[in-house]
Amino acid sequence: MDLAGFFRSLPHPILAQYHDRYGTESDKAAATRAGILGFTDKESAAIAEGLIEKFGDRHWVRARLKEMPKTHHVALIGLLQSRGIAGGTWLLQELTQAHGMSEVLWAEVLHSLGLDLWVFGNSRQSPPLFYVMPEPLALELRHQFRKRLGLAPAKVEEGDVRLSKDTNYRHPVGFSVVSFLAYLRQHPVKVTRKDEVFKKHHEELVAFFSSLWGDSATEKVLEWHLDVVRELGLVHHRGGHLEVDDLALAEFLSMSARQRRDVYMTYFRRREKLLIWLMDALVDMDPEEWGQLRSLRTVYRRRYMGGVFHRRYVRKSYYLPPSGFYDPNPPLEVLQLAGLLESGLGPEGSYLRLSRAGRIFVSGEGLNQLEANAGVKFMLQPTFEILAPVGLPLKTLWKLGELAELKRVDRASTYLLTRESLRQALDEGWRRDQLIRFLAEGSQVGAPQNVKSTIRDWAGKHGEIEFHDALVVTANKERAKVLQKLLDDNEIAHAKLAPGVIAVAREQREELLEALRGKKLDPAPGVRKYDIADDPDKRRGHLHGMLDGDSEDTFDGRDEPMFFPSKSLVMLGAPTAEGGKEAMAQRGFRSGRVGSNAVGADLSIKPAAAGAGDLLKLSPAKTISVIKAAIRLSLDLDVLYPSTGDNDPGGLSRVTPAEVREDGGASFFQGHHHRLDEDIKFQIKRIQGIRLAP
Amino acid sequence: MFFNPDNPLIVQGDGSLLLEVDNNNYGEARDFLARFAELEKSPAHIHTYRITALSLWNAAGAGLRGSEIRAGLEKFSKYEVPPDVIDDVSEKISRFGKVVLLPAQEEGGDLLLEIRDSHVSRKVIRSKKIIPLLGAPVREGLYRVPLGNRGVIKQALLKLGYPVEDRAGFVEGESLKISMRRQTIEGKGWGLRKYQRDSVAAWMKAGSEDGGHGVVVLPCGAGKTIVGIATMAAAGCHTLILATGVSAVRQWIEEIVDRTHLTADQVGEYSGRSKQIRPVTVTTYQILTHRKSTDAVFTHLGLFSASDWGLIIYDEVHLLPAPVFRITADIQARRRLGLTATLVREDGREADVFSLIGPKRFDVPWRVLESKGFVAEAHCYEIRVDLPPKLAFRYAQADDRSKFRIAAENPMKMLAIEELLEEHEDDKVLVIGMYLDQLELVAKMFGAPLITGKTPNDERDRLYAEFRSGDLKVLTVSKVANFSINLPDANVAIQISGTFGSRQEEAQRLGRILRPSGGEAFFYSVVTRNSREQEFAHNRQLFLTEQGYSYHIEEWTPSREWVEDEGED
Repeated sequence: MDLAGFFRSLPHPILAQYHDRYGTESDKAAATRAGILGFTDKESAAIAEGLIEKFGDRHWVRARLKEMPKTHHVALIGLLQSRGIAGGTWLLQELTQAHGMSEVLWAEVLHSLGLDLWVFGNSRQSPPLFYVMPEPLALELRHQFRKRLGLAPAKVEEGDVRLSKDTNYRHPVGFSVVSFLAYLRQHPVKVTRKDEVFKKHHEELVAFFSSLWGDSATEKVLEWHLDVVRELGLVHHRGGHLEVDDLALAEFLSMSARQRRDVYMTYFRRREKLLIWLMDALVDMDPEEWGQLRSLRTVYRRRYMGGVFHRRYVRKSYYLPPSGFYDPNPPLEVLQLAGLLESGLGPEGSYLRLSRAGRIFVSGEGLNQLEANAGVKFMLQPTFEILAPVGLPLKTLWKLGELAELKRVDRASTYLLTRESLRQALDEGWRRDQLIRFLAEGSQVGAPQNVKSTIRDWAGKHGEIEFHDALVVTANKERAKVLQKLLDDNEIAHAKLAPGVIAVAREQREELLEALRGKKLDPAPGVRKYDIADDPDKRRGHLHGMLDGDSEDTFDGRDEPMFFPSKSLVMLGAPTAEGGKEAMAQRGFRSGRVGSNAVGADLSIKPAAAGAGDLLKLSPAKTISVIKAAIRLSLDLDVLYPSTGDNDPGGLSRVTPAEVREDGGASFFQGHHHRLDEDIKFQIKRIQGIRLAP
Repeated sequence: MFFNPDNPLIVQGDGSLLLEVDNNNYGEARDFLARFAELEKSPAHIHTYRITALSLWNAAGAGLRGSEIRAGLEKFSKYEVPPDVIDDVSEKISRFGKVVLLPAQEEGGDLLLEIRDSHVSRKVIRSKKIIPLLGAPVREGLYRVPLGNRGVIKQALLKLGYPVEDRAGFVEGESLKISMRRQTIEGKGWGLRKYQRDSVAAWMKAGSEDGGHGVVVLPCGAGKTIVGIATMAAAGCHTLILATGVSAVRQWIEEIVDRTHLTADQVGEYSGRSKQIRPVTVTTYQILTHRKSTDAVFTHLGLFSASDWGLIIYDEVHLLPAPVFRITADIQARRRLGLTATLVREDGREADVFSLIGPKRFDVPWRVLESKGFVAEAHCYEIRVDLPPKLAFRYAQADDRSKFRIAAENPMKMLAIEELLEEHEDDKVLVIGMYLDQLELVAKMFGAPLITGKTPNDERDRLYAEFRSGDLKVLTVSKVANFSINLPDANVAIQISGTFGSRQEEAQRLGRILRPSGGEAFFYSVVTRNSREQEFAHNRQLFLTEQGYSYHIEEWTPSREWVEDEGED
């Protein structure tokens, strides 16, 4: 909702209050009465337009903010950081904890902001108070306070902060995940029914990956990897073991770097929604700047609690969360374990910032370089060892795991070609020549003669009869010969099935296409499909599904204010029968025994109904709010009440209310009974109907 | 992760270092790494170094600081250097120099052990293994050490994680003037190569108190014996030389007499056959560790105190046997030089070498020497030969053990040898094998005299001389050729049978053709195709390629027809 929509839809009493606060002097008396009795449509439209103009003028808003004491700014910022909503008890505690002063004083500040109609309360009569800032106002205030809402960079020099060894993990995510999957493919990793890895295998994993992940935290990083591959569906359980899901993996590897980044982001969001927001908060700082952990915790806490209160508000379940919720720790470890966040110790405790990888991750710029560095190839040594350095394309890295035993994982992982690994690769579909070609072309130094010779020797007669996952290329009579020659000249693996029908190695399709184009032939660019289920491009699997599910919530603009139904807003600032701001501060909202939050302006009560219309049978709380409004505005009430004594048969009476009070656990209001001409104490719950006297 | 593709080095999380050979900065990086890391593997494209506590202390002993290592690693690394590695290097290297052994304050008195760190001092005096080795404390951090405990306390402290910087000095030993000849006895001019001079200087450390002990690491064929002789000349004192066998002993004696002005009667052989104790005495590890029974004392250990030795040279120090370590611990006041091609010991006692012989003082990679022509450039070939059909049938039916033998003695190998000998008719060729029947056949077929363990020494020496002079082009040798016979002009080896599993055997056999004759060397292994022998040969292939030698596999087919009964009589 925008500012115009907000003011145009405001109930008349609130509109009247705005008009009273920000309108001209001459209008105020009329507006006061109109607030109770209702404006005409014309009047309300005029008032709303006036307010829209004022609140839409940033200079005017800035001027109003400048009139406020700084404490008011601090309170507004606190509420904005919690996305415009906060439980009363919590916000007062939060402000006290972060900025000092007492809760009573902060309550006064908020009360004052309520009087100025920047902050409202929630509408229910008996629950704890929630401070609420309507979305259009919040949007404007966010703009005004934009430089103070995020994480402020700490004032430290680069050298003042020492990187902490135990919390900085530098493993490259894609490389690390694929290596981990290669390990799972090659080693049995048994899991219990509770999804825990068997101790022996857990220890083996820790020992194996410690050189890449760092000795001190291998276990944590291992848990993170297990969590990621499970969450992304890259592994599943089979026979009590973790098994790589080939389809999901194929999908994962065929994704672009950006899509994979989004998949990780989805994972982060699933783990903790605010992780994305956290990264956003950190990416706003310059790369060299550090943020203080304490400040980040404050910002995070407010944001987190705002989410909690918003859920309660929307569900109308206003009970307060347990106090343990009040100081949630930001889930930094997940980001640290992913190598996206680095932390250090400095003059005032802990500091944080996004790592270089983290910045690339969030911004999405340079993701390709993060995963694969241009020109990085593996090294096939004459010792049959393959060194696969970080930066190798993930697909290539995975293929190495299909061909060779993963012996060590590090900045350059070591794979070893053995007779057994080779046989297994051949059994799983690799062809001997394809394998040699892959090694020769993928290796920075080609394939040494002794290795090629040994592979041929090991492969032996394997594959002399094979099944092929090949493409069938057809050509008409004129083209068939040209095609055949082209295949021969370019050494593209093929088999002639019939005149003009040739099976071609699927992985050489691009090569063939290029060769055909080179000959100025005009091949159909796509592949004619006969079974769509078999089309890898169309087979959008689990991971794409994850991304689709997240598409409505983009990774950008994640810190917008939340929407609150404005019809349930209650003005905080209206003078109360209990003594105004002092009463506000002292009300027992913390104990849960709360009187009404505000008077007379509960928007769920139609002004007309509360005014001159028929008598209303209201709940005790609403009844009290009507009575308080009448007291404040010096109006009489029509009250339908049973007999008040021997002289009173009961029925409808006009009463001038004086005060509302509690006595012996019951609520009463004291008022002058016109018909009896005496002061009578009315028990609220016995009131059968009430309205403001016309 | 930070990435600089132009740099040649990858620093792994476990402290190993991968160095890309085909990189513009390779040479500079290699020279840097050699100062503080051990070269583990050196296959064609990527060399693997490892940083160990000992390699760091060796580096610290040579004056290298942790900050220099860090800066160098960061300079050459492709990726960010793992912080764990940096921390580990700094921590370990800082330990060197914290514990120093100082000379006695008065002659014959106790040595002094100074501990320059209170934390280490507390740790040391709490150690039950060290307390009994210490004398009375002089003050906190300074303790007396009885002279006899000099070696054992260094061992004990190293085990505790603190290397001792030994500055206690050495006895001079009985003086002996040793000057180097400019020409050999045969009149060939020669001189020390630069790296040989450098290794002597590094060991001497300009005569400083922490010089005079330590190990020089040079590859096979680089002239370790020459370095030993030059060291003797520099030290100028009575010298005891410990070598691996009698042949090596004689080789040392020949070289000493040939390269210095010492006369033959100044150089003694102390072996099973001869017990000469002379100003320069060469003996074997075997004789020193000889005893009549396992309970008896070692008969010849008295040799260490038979003269006032000023220098003891340990040849092939990686083979030093345990009892010699023990006696070495007792003679720490004598200067010690270790010579080896590798510090890696099969028994893992590298720390004892460090404590008792001394830190590594000099190391030069063989690639450097190869590039300068000081050692031959070696090419390794595996020649795969089919079994004749008749034997193939027998082979198929045989058990594993017999299979290996049948494959090893495959008569088709003779045709391959014939072709190779034709190809290398101008070279000096060693045909090396394991089975005497086969070797005798080779000797007979190709007129190549056979040397086995049974060949009398005089006959051996005569054949070696003929081979050296060039009168003899091909020599057939059994396993006896594995250790320390020096055939300087051999540049081709044809291995026709062997255990293949033994890396040491491979290294020694290859070492035979790496002698600095310049040019290229060829190392052929003839194996039977698709046999157990070929499987074993795979181990050799891995070993040789790890060492950095080029390795080619040739599927050999005979250029003439094989007659079934050829060579079988």
